[in-house]
Amino acid sequence: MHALSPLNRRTALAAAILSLACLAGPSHAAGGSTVPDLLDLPARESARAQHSLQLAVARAGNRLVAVGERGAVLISDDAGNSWRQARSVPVSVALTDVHFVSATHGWAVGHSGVVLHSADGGETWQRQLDGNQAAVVVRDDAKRRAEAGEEGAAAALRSAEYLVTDGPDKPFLGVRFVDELHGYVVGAYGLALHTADGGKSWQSLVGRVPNPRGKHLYQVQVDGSTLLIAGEQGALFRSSDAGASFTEIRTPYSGTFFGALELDGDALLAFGLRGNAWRSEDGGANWQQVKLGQPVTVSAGRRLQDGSVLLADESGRLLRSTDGARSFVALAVQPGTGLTGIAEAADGALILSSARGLSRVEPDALASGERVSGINVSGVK
Amino acid sequence: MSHVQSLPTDAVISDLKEFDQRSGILAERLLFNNRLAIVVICLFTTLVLGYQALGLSLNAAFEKMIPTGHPYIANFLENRKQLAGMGNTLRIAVEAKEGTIFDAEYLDTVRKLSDEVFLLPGVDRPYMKSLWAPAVRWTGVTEDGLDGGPVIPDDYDGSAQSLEQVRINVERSGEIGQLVAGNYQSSIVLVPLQERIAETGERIDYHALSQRIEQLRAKYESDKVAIHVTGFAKVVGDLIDGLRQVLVFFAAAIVICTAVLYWYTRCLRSTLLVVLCSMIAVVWLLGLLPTLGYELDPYSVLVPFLVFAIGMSHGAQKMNGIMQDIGRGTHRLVAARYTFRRLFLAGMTALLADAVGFAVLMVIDIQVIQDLAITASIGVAVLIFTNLVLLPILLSYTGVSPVAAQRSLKAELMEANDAEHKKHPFWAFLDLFTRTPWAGLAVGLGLVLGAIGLTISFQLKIGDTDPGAPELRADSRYNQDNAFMVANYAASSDVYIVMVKTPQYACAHYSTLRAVDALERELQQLPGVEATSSLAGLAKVANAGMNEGSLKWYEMPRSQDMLNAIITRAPREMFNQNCDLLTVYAYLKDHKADTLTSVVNTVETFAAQYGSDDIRFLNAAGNAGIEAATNIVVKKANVQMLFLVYAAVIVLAFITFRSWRAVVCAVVPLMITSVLCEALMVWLNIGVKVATLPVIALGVGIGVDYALYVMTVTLARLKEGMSLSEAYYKALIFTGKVVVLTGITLGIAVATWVWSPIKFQADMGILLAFMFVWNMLGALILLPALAHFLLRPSQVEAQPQAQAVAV
Repeated sequence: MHALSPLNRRTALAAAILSLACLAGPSHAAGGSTVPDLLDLPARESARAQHSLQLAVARAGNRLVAVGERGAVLISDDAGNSWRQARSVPVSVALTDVHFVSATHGWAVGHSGVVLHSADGGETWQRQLDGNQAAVVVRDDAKRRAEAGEEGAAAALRSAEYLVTDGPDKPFLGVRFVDELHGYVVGAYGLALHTADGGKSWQSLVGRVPNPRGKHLYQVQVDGSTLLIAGEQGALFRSSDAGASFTEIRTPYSGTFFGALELDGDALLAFGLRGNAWRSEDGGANWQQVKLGQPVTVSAGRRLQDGSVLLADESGRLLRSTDGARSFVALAVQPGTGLTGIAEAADGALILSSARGLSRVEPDALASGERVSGINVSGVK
Repeated sequence: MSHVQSLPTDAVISDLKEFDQRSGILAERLLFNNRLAIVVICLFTTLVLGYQALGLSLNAAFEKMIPTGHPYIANFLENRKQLAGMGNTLRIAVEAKEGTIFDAEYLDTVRKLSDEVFLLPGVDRPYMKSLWAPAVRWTGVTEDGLDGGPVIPDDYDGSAQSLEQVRINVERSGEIGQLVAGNYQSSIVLVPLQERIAETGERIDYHALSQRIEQLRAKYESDKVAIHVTGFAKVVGDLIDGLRQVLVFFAAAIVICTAVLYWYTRCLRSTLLVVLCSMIAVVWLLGLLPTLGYELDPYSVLVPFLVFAIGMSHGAQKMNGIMQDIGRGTHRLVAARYTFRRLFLAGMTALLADAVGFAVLMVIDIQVIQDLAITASIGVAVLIFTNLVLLPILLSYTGVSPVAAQRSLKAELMEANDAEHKKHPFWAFLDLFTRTPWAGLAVGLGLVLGAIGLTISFQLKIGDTDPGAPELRADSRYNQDNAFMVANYAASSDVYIVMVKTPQYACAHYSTLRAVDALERELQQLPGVEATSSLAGLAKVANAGMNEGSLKWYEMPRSQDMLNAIITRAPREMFNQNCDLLTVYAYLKDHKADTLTSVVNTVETFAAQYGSDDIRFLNAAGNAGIEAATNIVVKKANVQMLFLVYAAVIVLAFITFRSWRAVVCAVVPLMITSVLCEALMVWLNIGVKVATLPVIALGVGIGVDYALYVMTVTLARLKEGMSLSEAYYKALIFTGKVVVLTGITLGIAVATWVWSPIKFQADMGILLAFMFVWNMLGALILLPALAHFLLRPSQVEAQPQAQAVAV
């Protein structure tokens, strides 16, 4: 991640020469204004938003709020039957995750390191953080650690300096808040921040997560003071002290986990690339593979209100387990390919975000399906 | 055009010796005193040009059908070499009628077919694509990164296992909807063409190419495999095939015209002579075209019809005059010379009016229309020789059948002398329109029709409204194939391309892509845009792909290193080798004018706001882009052309009549017909396009003939002191007959085009037939009715300089 590639430098030179040439002669520039940066370009009212890529969907009271490409935020007040666009979103970057702690307060994260906050149930949004600011937060924390002489802090500072010079080119991929004040965001290259004042100020978690190679962090789950972060190369991190410290959970899989769920007792389920789903009975000490029948990436998972576990994969399959993720049934419904997120509407219907927008699966569809899988005994570590 | 004839044309001279050979104008003496030489020269010319005509080729070049002078097209032509395979690509879909494409026999057929297509002349081979092309690859995500290879693996052996591998590869190739149909029942061989054959530098012979494709279709189609072919080259090939069928209509037109003429004259020998002379005109025209470096295209192929029909009508007049003189007992040579004296200048005037109608088309900046104008002008010029000179000379040798001559004379005497008692019911009916209340009724009706027509004509559409290739009929093989493509493949058949120019190597800069992405965002808001694609969109897909296919990464990466990595894998259609040109594709729902206009305006607005020296957004390429530019030119030309053709006709009419009242009488019926023609186009859902643009000019140019003939005689008689009714009646029995004959002959000749397999020829046929017949009715009904209000005998006398052809 250097500032300029050779190609870039050459064109920069060419551009400089060209602009000099323009000073000399009359300019034929037409309008001349440049297209605003996506961070400064409000999302536009779009006829297409409802059918474009949606990356996550969340409940805000009885309302549903979904986020997706080009800063689109969609709102449904009728359990996902109809959707409309939020009134105002200050950015046009792709938004990757959304979470509400109440009917009014919610946060969304996305590309260019953006964190948005809504205090009115998703109608209007304010930018709380962008990639430039996030990089500075991480760098300052690394600097403080380096000055305090912490182990490995020098290397962390060097990579934090790169974060600042690279600019806002890294996305946040997951967001969860505990209440209106305390929340966590995670993202690419090991980015992880938290706030204790509702997003007014942010602190770096980068130094606390044992992720020296900066693996991408795809999801954070919060349950009280317990945090679970899933990421690249089989990465799982857990905190039981509200993010004050993290421990790495070693997994037998070397591919990416796009998410992980805490199940009853100490059980864990991590899922990700090429149909990989791994279950641990004992908080991550031992793992068993749960075969899902097809080598298709599992992109989203959720524990439903009835206690069952639901996974969604890229081919559009919905897999449901009623035995604590030991075995899964592929539901007969096919809500469309490229599923990205799951929420439950107030009436018990499933709301799915996908590459083609949002779809609603009626509650009774959960009943019918075909058993596809089970624990693969040979997968025990 | 005032031509007062001082020479005697009414002395009945039955013995040639009594005729003064030195009488007549120089041209007449020159021609008629050297009759044999003229005939020999014409015979020789016919032989030479007939031989030349054998070299006439039928073709249709892409550039000739588009307005090359329009800035959008200039942008396209300037960058077309950089736009890989755009504008001219053949898509050959190979359909498996049973089962799917994952079948050894099917894949073998595709391989053989693409191997054969590969060798066709004009194929831009490096960019050809099919399942078997090495460039068509799959990519997949693994724990170790990206994996990939050709869709048909190197170790493919047709076994069930191999076929399963092909299926898996296809599924992860990203070609579903592009090269492979979503239902897996067909796949495409994509064949980009070059305008010139690389090896020889010759232009592609689309007809030959289309025939080769048809041979391949015949060879590979079976009960298991169907072949569907679309693309400009195939459209042109089918058009040229259609042109050959048009020759049948030409034969039909000859037969019909001959029959009408024979019915009118009942003289076989002179009828055949008129047909012969008109045919000679066509032969000369067809011989002159290759000699002057022109070829026939689907538009100009209609000109020989017109020339023939016009020739027939002028020939009929000559024959009519000679027949009447011979009937009176004049010697056939003298009769021919009299007729020449009487009608040469009138004929010239009429032909000049036709020529003006054609010449006005030259202002339209589309080469096929200019070629049409030139072809038609040559045809009209040729008619002056064959039908105004050669025909009277030939008739002076052959004479007419005495029975027919007597019949003609009898009819004339009866009609002229017993006018008050035994008017032919038809002429009597037309005569009513010179009086109240019929005149008022006709004018009132004309104005009401005009007003209604005008109201409807405001809905006139620009451009094409039918899906597929509008040149061909909706149920043609081509359009069925096109419907197959649209139903089975994601790509719409209406592609609009915006070209984005940047400094060299800047095509993949983040700022460039951000601008392109913003343009795409604007285009996506338009209801007529189904989808867009560009390097910006590709960068998003690639970014997700490089991050294990996670859709959360569907965003343009800001990192230039990442963008550089992406561009090395990006398909060539997205940007050029120099990395200074990007293409933004908008796939449209249709190519209706509204849709195209919305895209054009969006791009223009965007370019005005964000264009700079470093990034320029240029309209337009792709078939829809070219059509958008064509529509703009056609819309402008339509107004321009109507203005010019009417200006020319009014000037011509004024020179002839020297009376603005007479001009109004002559031109108002034409205008009403033009308006009604536009209303008819609305009703028949025919838009103003390259094909229909010439129709109104041709219609007005030829329609004014009628008015000229009727009005000149009427004016002359009015000047002699006759009442309007008498004057008009005289005009009817002298030239009115010929007007009716001409209207019917021309109308029938062009109406045969309705059966053309080429849709626009059928459209032109309907519209021209309508114009010819309505202009005839206008000249016979509305003209005298208007004259009733505007031309009272006293007013004609008040204009002492009003002169007319002395007939």
